[in-house]
Amino acid sequence: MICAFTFFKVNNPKKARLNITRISDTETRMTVCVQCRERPCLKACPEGAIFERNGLVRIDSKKCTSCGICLKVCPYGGIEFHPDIGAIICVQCGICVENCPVGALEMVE
Amino acid sequence: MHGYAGSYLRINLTDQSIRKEKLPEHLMEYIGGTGFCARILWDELKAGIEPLSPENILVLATGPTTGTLFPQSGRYMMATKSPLTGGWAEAHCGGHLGPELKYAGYDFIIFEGRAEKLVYLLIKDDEVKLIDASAIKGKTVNVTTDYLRDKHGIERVACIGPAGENLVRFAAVMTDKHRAFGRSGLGTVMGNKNLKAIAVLGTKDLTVADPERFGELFQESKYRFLEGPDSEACLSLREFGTAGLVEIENEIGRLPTRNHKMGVFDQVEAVGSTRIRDEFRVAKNSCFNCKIQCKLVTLSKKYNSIGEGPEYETVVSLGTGCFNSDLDSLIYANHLCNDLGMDTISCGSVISFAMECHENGLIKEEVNWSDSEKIVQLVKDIAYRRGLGDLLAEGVKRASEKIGGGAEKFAMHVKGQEISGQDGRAHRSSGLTHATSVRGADHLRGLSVIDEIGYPEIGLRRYGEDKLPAALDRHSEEFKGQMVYDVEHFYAVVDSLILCKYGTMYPLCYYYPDFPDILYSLTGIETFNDEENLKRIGKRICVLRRAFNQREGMSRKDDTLPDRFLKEPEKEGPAKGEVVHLDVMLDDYYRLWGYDDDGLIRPETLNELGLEDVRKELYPE
Repeated sequence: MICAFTFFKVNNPKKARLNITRISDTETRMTVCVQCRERPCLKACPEGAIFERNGLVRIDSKKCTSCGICLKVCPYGGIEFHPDIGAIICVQCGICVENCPVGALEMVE
Repeated sequence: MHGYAGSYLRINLTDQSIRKEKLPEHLMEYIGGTGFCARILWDELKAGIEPLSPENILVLATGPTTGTLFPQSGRYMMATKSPLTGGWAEAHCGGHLGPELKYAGYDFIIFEGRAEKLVYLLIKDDEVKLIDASAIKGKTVNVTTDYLRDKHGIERVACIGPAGENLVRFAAVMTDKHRAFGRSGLGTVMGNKNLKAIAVLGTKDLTVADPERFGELFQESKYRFLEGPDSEACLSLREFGTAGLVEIENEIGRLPTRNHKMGVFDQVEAVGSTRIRDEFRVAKNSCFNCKIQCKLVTLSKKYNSIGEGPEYETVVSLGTGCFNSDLDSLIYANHLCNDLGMDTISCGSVISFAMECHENGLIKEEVNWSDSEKIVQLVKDIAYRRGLGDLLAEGVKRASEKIGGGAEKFAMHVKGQEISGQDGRAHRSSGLTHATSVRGADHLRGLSVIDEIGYPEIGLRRYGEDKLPAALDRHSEEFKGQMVYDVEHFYAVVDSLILCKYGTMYPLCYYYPDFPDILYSLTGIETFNDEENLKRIGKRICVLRRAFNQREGMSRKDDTLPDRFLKEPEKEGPAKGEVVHLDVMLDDYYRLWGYDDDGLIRPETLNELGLEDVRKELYPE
């Protein structure tokens, strides 16, 4: 929630850059861009909308055409998508970590 | 619109028509949630309608905060005419379904009529369909939820289980498998309408009028729950769930035991919160946007059952109330109630009623105190209406009338709904709450916590030194009319926004002064930026709900308690020798609300709150 609110000023968890799903009564799964070295998304994007800046992978929403190819090639399921915006990925700002009431999230190297 | 979705759905199950309408302006005078429902049920129902008929309506409602970052906004509610009391019925639920409904673009749904065959409702943003439910007829809540999740790729499901389909009079509607719209027979009405489930997926935005200010207030809220003076209580709720209240209530002699006969349980450690956490808790869960996160996932190895609970109320109803110290069976019975779709409070109450009846020779079948296997068996028999379960499925009031022979004195109910886990003899204001709650014998419309748990600073701040120590004295009738009146209209606002009681009722993190700023920054609606107006709206909602009951013929005679609380002094514990002197509290309460001595709403009271149309209908010239 806080992710979508920070970047888009709306309440809409489907516009968040991380995805949290309860897969059973005792397990929760979180998927997010892990900034992998291989960058298959960057190589696959036909529009060149995925690029690197300061060592981090980013997506330029203005160039994204919502084709969905990056979603298919990411082995971590770390790219999120919403029809209003196209593909989005975590920019490592840490706001979700700061706001989790139970400290379930952490930034890693 | 900001905060609100801006539309609602009207679904006629008889002709299967679906209409999407704009949110009407006049409903803004009721904020949302229970406020919306109070106005809708007053306008669209008439006196004397049979609750289990196509003429009744069922409303699923959210508020402007639902689905937003407004703290503790993970709740949503349903309302109808109660098959237990014949009057106002509402129940709230925590989880994710309400927010999802807002993201799909709807503030509430009205269900009318009755489907010819079992159906379910599927909502995916603008796509709304009624679908044949024969594949899930008779299926449990877990199976139904999994089926709909797999079939439609959606996560958020509200459904009834076999209990609702079998018209158990206290059947619940369940969401996210383990969360309940528990009380007052909502599942029964949904079953009577042949509506099995509601499945929702929503992807739209909920906007904010002033995102910067709203964001600031959201950040500030973290202090209130996790760092300030209430953090200990919040973290205790997180660690133990509401079951943490079991030991507290036993201390003050208010842990209903043996069908509300006593207020202390000598084996409290066996079913207490420490043992639940240490031996049964396997994970934790939460509702949407919650800072407290009070849900426990529990596993009973003995019964090979995993699910959520038990809440404090369930430890009472299926534990101490039945003199049952076997925590495995308590937890399994809780899981069963969830999976079969029943209110644990009423279910446990009707079982302890059967136990007391058997003890007094009124029921031949062997239903003995502490018989944990029998409790588990009866839960199943009630849901499927088998044997004695068929009689008990009618609730304590109707069951006691059928049994006769004095069984009525063991039927712990008010207006037809079973009494929750409080005892007015040890906590006077809760006696008044049980007697006067619009949905009958409930604690969530008007439980006063300042005297229950003891908040001397807040008591001092809200009422002044001259009202203490009376205001804090659990064993005194003095001043309790005022305290129940105060929390009633406050909770009406809370139940309209809709927020959780944890963070407002207990701990007291948010109160009236906190709402105007954050509500205005969310919605941009001027009339909400005024504390006095919010109080007025709260009062309007309370009086309108009471008018609904008055229209059905209810009055002072129905605002009462079983003789157990009025005439049987407690035999042991902190409340030994005490009874509830209800009349003196009731007189005070009526005076404050502007009702006459018979509990009827004075015409001036209706005028003052902008309910002239209600006055004209109740008192035609």
